[in-house]
Amino acid sequence: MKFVKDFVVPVVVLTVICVVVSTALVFTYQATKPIIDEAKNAEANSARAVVLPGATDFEAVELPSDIEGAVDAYKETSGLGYVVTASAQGYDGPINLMVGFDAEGTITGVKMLEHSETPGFGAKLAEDSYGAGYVGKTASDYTEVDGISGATITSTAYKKALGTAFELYSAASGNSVDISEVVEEPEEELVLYTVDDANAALVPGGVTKYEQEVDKIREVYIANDKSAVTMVVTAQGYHEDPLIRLVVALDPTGAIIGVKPVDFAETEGIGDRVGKPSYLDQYIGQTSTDSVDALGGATVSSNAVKKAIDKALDAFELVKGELAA
Amino acid sequence: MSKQSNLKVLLNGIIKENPVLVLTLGTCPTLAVTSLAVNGLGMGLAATAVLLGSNIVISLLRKVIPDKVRIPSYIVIIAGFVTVVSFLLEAYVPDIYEALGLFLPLIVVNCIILGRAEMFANKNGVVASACDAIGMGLGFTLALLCMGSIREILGSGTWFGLRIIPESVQTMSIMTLAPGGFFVFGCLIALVNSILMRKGKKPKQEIGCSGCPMAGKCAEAAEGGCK
Repeated sequence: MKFVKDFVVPVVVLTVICVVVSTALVFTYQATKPIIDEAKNAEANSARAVVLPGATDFEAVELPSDIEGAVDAYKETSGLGYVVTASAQGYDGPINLMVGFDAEGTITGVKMLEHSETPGFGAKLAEDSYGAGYVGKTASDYTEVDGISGATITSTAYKKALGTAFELYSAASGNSVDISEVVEEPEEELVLYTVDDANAALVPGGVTKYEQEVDKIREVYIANDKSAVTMVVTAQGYHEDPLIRLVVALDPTGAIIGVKPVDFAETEGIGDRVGKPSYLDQYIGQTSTDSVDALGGATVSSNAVKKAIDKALDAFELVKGELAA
Repeated sequence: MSKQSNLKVLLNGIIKENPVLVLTLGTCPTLAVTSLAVNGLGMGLAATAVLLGSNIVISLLRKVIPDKVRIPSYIVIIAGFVTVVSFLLEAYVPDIYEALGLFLPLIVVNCIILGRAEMFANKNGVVASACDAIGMGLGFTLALLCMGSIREILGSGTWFGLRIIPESVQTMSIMTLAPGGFFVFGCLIALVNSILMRKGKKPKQEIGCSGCPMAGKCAEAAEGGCK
C-alpha cells in the first residue's frame, strides 16, 4: 500500500491534472481561434487598405513562380483593385514595397514595408510623402517620377520594385500592361582635372597666371577678360598625404563659379563622393560655404573641401581689384 | 472561516501584505511592463484572473494532490490558466496582448501565483482562497497601476493615453526605461513602509529568515505543519 501511496497516486493525480488542463486548453483554443484569426486578418486588411483606400476585404492570388522579386498579391474581394508586395535589391539589403492598384492598374498608394537604406539618403524614399508622388501613375509613366538625389541606387531599386509590382498586378488581374523599363542611371565617377583643364572648364575665355602669391595661395589665375579669378587651394582631407587640391573659380562679386578637384585621394565610396560634381556643384553661386551641408558619412572630407574653399574666398578680397567690376 | 476573516484576508493583500511592495514578489513583470499605466492595469488584471482561477482550483484539489507532486501540479494548473487568459486576451484585447508580450506567458512562473498556491490555497478553503486571490490580485494590480501611472505621467506626459503634461514640457523619458522603473519601485516601497510604520507595524529590519517579509506567514504555516 505504501508503494501505491508513494508512487502510483502522485503519478495518476498529476497525469489526470495534465489531461484535464489540456482538454480545457483545447476547448479554449477552438473557441478563440476564429476570433484571433479574424482579428489578424482585419489587421492585415487594414494595413493593405492603406495603399488601396476604401478596401475592406482581400483574398490571396496565386502567382506564377517566374516573377523575380514577387512577394505576394491580394485581390480586393469587391473588385476595387489589387494590393501586391514586390521586392528589389536596394543599396543595403532588399527593399519591400506594398503597392495598391485600382482595377485599371493605376497606382493608388505605395508603402515601403522593410528596408535598411542609409538614414538621410536612401531612407528618405521610405517616407510616405515620397510614395505619395506615385499615386495616379500607371505602368507607362511611373518611371517619370523623380528619384531622390544622393540616393540614386535606392531610387532605381524603388522603381524596379514598382516595375515588379506592375508585373504582379498584370499576373493577378489578367490585364496585360506595357511596363516601361527602368533605366539604371550610371554611377557618378570621380573625375580629376589638371589645373589647366580645370581652368579651361571653369573659365572658357582662358586665364593668365597672376604673378604674385595671394594670401599664401601660390597659383592664382585671372581670366583674360577679367571676369573671373581661379585659385588652386589645398586642405588636409581624411588622409595626411596627399592633400586635397581644388581649383575654385570666383566671379567679380565673389560668388563661386565652380569647383573642380585636382587631387582627391579620399576613401573610395565614402570621402570621394565629396569630390564628385553632384556635391561640389552645390557650391556654384554661393558666396560662403555655410549653406552647403557636409555629406553624411564623409564629414572629414566635406569639411576639408569647405576649408579649402574658405581659403579661396578669403584670398578673393585681396585680388578682386584685378577684376573688372 | 467567518465572513469577517475572509474580508480581512481580502484586504490584507492590498497594503499590509501587498505582494509587490511588501512581499516583493513578482518584481520582474512589475518593472518590465509598467512603462504605461494601461499595461500595468492589463498585467495586473491578467495575473489576478490567473491567480483567482488557480487559487480556487488548488484549494479544491488540496486534499487530492499528493505532497510529492504538488509543485508540478500547481504549475500545470497555473500554466493552463495562463494559456487560457492569453488566448482570451489575444482574441478580445489584442493591443494589451501585444503590449504584455513575453510577460504574459511568464505569468506561469510569477512567484506571486505559485507563492499564494503554496502559502495559502493549499491550506485554506475555497472561499478564503478566492478572497486571498482577489486581495493579492488587487494589491498587485494597484501596485502596477500606481507604478505605471507615475512612470507614464512623468516619462511620457500622458495617463492612459490622455495628455496630462503639455507637450511643450520636456518629459523625463528615463522614467519609461528600466532605471525609472527601479526609482519608482524604490519610492513606492518606501511610501508603503512609512504607511505601515505609522500604523505601528514596523517593517522588519533584520537580515536573514526573520527579516523576510513573509516570515509571519511562514511561521504560521510552520505551526500548521509546514514541511
